[in-house]
Amino acid sequence: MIQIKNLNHFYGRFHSLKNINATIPPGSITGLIGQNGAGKSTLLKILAGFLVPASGEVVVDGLSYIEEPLKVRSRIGYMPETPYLYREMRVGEYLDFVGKLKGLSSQVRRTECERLTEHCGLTKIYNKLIGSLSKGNRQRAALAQALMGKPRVLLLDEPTSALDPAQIIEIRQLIESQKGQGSVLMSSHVLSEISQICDHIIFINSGEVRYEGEPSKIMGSLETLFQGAIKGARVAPSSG
Amino acid sequence: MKKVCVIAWREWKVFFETPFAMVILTLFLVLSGTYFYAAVDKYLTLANPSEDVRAVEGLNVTVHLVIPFLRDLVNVFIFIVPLMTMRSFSEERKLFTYDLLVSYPLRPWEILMGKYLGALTLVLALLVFSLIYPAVVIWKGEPYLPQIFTTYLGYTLFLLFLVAAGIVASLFTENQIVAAIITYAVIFCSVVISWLAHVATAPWDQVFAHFLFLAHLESFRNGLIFMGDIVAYLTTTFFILVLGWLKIRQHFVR
Repeated sequence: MIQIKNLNHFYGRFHSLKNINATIPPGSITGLIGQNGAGKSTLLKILAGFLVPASGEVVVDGLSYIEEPLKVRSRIGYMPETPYLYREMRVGEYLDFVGKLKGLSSQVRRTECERLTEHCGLTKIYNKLIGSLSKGNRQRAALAQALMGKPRVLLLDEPTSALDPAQIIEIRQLIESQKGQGSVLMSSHVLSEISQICDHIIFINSGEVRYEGEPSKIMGSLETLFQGAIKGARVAPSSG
Repeated sequence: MKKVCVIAWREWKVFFETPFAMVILTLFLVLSGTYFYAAVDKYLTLANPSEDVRAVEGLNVTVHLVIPFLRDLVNVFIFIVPLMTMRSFSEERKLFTYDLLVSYPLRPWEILMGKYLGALTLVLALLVFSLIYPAVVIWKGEPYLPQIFTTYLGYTLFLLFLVAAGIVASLFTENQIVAAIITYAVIFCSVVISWLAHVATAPWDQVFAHFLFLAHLESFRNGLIFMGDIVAYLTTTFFILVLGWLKIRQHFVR
């Protein structure tokens, strides 16, 4: 579980995240939706440990990021929006490298590499240079490195962006297979994607959480939420 | 320490699996070879006096061949090391792989020392390779070995400092060229400080003398080991690495 309490972040003078309070339930797939520039990637980067908030707290499985940064990082798998991986490495070599950085023993790394190769469909590209992979295969490799070590929290920043429809379906299936194995927080600005696979939603606009809850309660209003966001208004969820 | 070695190993891999290694090695061999040829040619000219060339009293292979060559060799390292260190963090930041690196359960010092040790071992490997030139002189002549040893000790300390400067410079910019320029600027500052050390009054002349990164090498080349020179290099290297650690630590603390 992730608890976000009164989180604030600034890019210079620009207040990018304003008193964010949210909870990502354990075992769920939570969708973080909002327009471009709403603060989704910023929030994910804070949760991944790349950015430090100006104020507020992030608690992952009862561990505070400020007090126990290493322990929290060991529980997190992060896939950035544009997964730039080390182009000169081969896929299998890269997964092993990530496993070493995550402190996994050689036996566990071997097992994990075999599991992730099969799970993420990397068998045919296991010995290929990352620099020679297509976008879709790079996304798979990026997802695999995030899953290395079976993290309790998976952070995915726009995991299906710039993929073709077939690749989107494959990545969605991979994400759905993580349900129940930990908390998944994935960001997207594609409503249909979020509504299909997420069982919890956080809608963020202009750095503020405008809605948090079950997607079924606002299914009919998701578009309205976006339109309301454009106009800068809060939109109440529908009762149906 | 294991994670430090993993990061350092990756630096070696990147260096040798890209054309960059060929460029650097070629540059090193061409420049050092040219300097060595010039030193040998000059020595042979002095050793065979003619009407145009006066005989040199006390001509010996250490003072008139090995040390002048090693004095020029340091210029090769000053030119090449910033080129080897410029991509260390700059490329990662530009390609956003730095984001992933910081998200892994790594301490700031592990990230920094992994990069530093990776680059340092590569540079020291070049220094070891350069021993081939004194080895040729040893084969054909009788140079004073302790003086060669102290010179290489001094160069090792100097390279500890120079690699640290290059690595930390690459932390502050996404542009590799800017990172290299910052490193060259650090050496240039040493030249400026040497002027200040000459014109300043006590005790400031002693303070500025501490930062004469190139001048400290002279005593090593003369076969002398002064604790002050060793401390100067080690403390400056430590200070620079602490600066780098603080920069990386920004991702870990408010």
